[in-house]
Amino acid sequence: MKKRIWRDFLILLVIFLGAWIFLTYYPIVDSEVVKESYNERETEIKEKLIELLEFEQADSDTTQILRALGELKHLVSDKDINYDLYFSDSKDINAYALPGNMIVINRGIILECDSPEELIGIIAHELGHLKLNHHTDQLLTTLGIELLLAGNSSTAGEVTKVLTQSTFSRDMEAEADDFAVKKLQELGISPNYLAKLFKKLYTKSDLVPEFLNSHPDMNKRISKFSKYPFEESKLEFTFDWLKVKNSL
Amino acid sequence: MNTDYYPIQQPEDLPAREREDAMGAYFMMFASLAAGLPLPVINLIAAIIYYHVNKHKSRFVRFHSLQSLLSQLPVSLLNAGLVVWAISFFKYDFNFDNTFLSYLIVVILANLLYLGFSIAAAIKARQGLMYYFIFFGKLSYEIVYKVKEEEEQIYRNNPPI
Repeated sequence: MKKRIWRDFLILLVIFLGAWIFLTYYPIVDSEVVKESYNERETEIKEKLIELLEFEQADSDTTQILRALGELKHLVSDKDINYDLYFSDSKDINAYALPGNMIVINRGIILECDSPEELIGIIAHELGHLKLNHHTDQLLTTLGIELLLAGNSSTAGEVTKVLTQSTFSRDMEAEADDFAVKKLQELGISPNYLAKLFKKLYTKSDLVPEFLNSHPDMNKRISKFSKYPFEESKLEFTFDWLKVKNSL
Repeated sequence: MNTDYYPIQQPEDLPAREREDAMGAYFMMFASLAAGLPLPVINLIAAIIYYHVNKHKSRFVRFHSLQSLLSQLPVSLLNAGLVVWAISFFKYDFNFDNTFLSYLIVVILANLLYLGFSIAAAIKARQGLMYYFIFFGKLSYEIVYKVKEEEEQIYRNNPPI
């Protein structure tokens, strides 16, 4: 009898594990099809966001800031990711990565950057989120694709609220920071530039609650960037940063 | 060592009360399973209590209570695993991948099988019949019906020789 009990136990175990493994490797839902339809939607989402929030794409020649952002975008590139950089005329001190490989930089954070190197650090951090696939579910779970796509200009406020409130986990922030450090070093920029910017934002925290709320462990992050000695960057830009800021 | 088994009671020997108690073991598990869904440990505690309350009744009742309890153990563990895994998505932003999706399907199937077999067993128990689940049936039979050495009656009062 004992043997038969063991035999039955093994049968159950094999059925359970077998079904689990089988379904994992031969999924009922074809992940490629899901991916494809998701990519299609991603384009749709991207277009809708640009329309709703009136993002302006860097690289266009119309304003000083777009020209400057275009130059920075060419500097902060990655062989695996082809991203688009956008400017948003929002006073919120924030920058974010969105579905469809978009990075959006608000006017608010540009005004806080004393040098283009600081902004490069921010772009590199957001690029880290894109490269490490941190962005996709964040916006979609909070907002819901249907709601977003059905949205008209009156939902723009809601969308902005979600964007500024949606947060990445601490681990994701740390990973994106590590990516930014690597990127800055590749470009010959000291990661200490980011420490300077973060310290400044930290001391002005009454002005920037959303930014700090979405980025916990600020002290830890500042000390991570402060480990690197500050060295003036030797990068040269075709624009004058002060003039660019004054144009905003 | 004695490897004998106690005789199994036949339907005509079982009073209605015992049949109902045996049937109750399965239906009680459903209720507690539903109640314990957010935290699948609650139903296990209820199941253990039900078994302990009924274990001194006839072997027929004890068998069905134990079979119901034992078969609920893995289902509860699977459900608990699902709850913990699902919570971890919200907490740590894990990717919602195929491994989880297939686990979810397998767990749903396991719950449906458990439900189906339990209903069948409850009906049989009400009729005063035995009903053996795969593995759990044999295990419960072994535990309840096997004559254990220490259980052999020691005759302290004997007739005069």
